[in-house]
Amino acid sequence: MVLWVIGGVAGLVSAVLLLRPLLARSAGRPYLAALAGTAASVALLGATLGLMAQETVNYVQLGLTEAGIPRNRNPPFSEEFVAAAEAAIGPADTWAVTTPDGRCYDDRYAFIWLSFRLHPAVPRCDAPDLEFFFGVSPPAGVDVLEQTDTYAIVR
Amino acid sequence: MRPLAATLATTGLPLFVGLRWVAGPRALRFGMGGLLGVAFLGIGALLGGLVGAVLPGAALVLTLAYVLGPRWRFVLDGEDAVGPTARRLVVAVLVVGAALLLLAVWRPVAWWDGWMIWSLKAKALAATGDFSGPVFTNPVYGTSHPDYPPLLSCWQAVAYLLQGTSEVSWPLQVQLAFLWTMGGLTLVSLASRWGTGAVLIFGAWVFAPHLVRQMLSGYADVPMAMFLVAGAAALWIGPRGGSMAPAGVLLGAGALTKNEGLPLALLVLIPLLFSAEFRSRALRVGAVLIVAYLPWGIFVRVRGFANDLASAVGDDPVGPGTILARVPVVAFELSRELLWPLRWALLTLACVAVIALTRRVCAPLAATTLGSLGLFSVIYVTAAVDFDFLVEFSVGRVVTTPLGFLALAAAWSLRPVGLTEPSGLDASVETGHPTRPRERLLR
Repeated sequence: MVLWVIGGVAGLVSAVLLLRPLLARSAGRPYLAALAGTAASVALLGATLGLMAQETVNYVQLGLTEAGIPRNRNPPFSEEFVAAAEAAIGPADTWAVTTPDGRCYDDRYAFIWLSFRLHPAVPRCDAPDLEFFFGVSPPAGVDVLEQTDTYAIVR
Repeated sequence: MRPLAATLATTGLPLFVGLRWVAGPRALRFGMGGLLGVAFLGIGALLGGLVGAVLPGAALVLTLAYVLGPRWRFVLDGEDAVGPTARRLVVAVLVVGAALLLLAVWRPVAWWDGWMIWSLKAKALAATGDFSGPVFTNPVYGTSHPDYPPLLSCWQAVAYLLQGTSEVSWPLQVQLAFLWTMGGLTLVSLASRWGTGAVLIFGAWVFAPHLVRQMLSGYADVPMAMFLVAGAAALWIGPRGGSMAPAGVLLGAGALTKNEGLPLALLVLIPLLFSAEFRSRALRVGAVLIVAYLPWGIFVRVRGFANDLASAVGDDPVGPGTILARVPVVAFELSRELLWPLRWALLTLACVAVIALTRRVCAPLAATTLGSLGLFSVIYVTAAVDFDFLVEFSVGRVVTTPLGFLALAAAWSLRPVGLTEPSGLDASVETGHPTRPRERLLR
C-alpha cells in the first residue's frame, strides 16, 4: 500500500513535470486530447509501478526465484518442500501430487505450478514413481522416503 | 555471474546486430534495432529448435542478420530528427525502462500463463534442444499449448541455456523489461515523424498502466503487441521506396509470438492491398512475414499440434442461440475493458476524441483496428471452451494490440496537415521533415 501511494504521487508529479511545458502550446483540442491521454497514463503508471514494486518485494520475502504467483495468492508449496521433492526425484522418475484440494489436476493451479518447478521430471498421475502429499497424510502402508509436518514423499 | 552473462547475451547481442538494420535518430536506431535483434534471435532459436540446434540456429540467423542489415536497412532521414516532445518521452521511456529493469532482477516468472505456457516451453526447449520433449508431446502438459507460436519461449530458452540453470528466472524478466523499453523508443521516435500529437498519443499507449504491468507478468500479449504495432508503424511511417524488410520482420515476430499474431498481422496488411500507393509496400512486407512464419506453420501442421484458435471455433461449434446471447456480453466486456481507467487511463477516449475532433479517419487503419476487435469478438462468441473463464481472464490482455492499432490510427489523424486538407489543427511538426500527404488513400 505504501509503495502504491508513493508511486501514485510520483506518477502525478512526473506527469506534471513531463508534460506541463507542452500545455503552453496553443495547438488545438485534438492535441490537448492526446496530451490528456499521455498525462493520465503517466500519472497512473506511477501507482502501477508501486504495485509492481510491492509484488516484487513479496517475491523476495517468499524466496521465489523461479516461478511467481498471481496477486493475492500464496505459493501453493513451500520452498522447503520443493527442494525436498527436487532432491528425491531421480532422472527418470515420474511423479504425482496430492493436496487438500485433490490429486494432480484436481488442484490445477498447484499441479501446474509444481510441474514448472520440477521440470524436466514428468508428472504421471496414473502410475507415478514418486508421490508427494502436501498438507495431507499419506495412506498407511506406503514406502515413505521423507515426512515432515506439512508434506510426505513416498515411493 | 552466468545469469548476468545470459542476460547481456540475449539483449545486448541482438541490439548490436539490430543496430545495423536501422539508420536515423538515435532513439529509433536503438529502439527498433533492439526489437529487430530480439526478433532475429527468437526466430533463429526457433528455427534451430526445429532441427535440434537452438544455439547454432540463433547464432546463424544473428550472423546472417548482421551481414544483411546494411542491405535491407530501415532508413529515416536526419540523425537528429526527433523533436522536443519526443525527446521528453524518450527520456521518460528510459526512466520507466530503468525502473522495470531494477524490478526485473528481483522477480521470477511472475504469473500463471508465464510459467504454465511460455517459460515452461522455454525450459523444455533448453532441456531437450528441440520441440520433441514431453512438454510438447505428453498430454499431461496439455495446458502449455504446444501449438502456440513460441518466439518468446525460444528467446527465453537461449537465456536458460546460456545461464546453465532454469532455477533462476530473473533474466527472463530483464528480457521483457528490455523489450518494453525498445518498443517504447521505437514508437515514440517513429511517431515524431507525424508530429507532437502523434508522439503523445503513442505515449498514452506505451505508458498505459496495464500494458506496463502485463509486460513483467511473463505473458506474451505485450511482446506480441510491441512487435505488431511497431511493425505497422514502420510500414506506415517509413519512407516511400525504402526497405520494408524490417517492418516484415517485426510483423513476422508478432505472428510467431501468439496464436492471434498471424491474423492480426494480416489485418495490418490486407486493408493496404486496396490502396494503390501502399499495395506494393504491403506485398513486400507480407512476403517477409510469410517467410518468417512458414517454417513454424508447416512444423505445427506436420506434427499435428492442434490450434486452439481454430479448434475453439471448429471442434464443437456453439449454436446460433448461444452466439446471440454472447454478443452483448462480449460487447459489454470489451467496452468496459477499453474504457477501464485504472488499466488504460484515458487512452481509448483520447484516441476517439482525436479522430472525432480532427475528422480525419484513415480507412485502412480503421479497418485494422475494428478488424482486430472483431476477430476477438468472433473468437469469444463462438468459443467452444469455457466462455465465462475465457472472457474474465483474457479480455484485459487481448485488447492490448487493438489499442495499439487505435493509437496508430489516432496518430495518423494528428500528423501534419497536407495541402489538400483544411487547416485548423496545429500541425506541430516535430522533425522538420513532414510526411508527404496521403489524403488520396482516405477518400
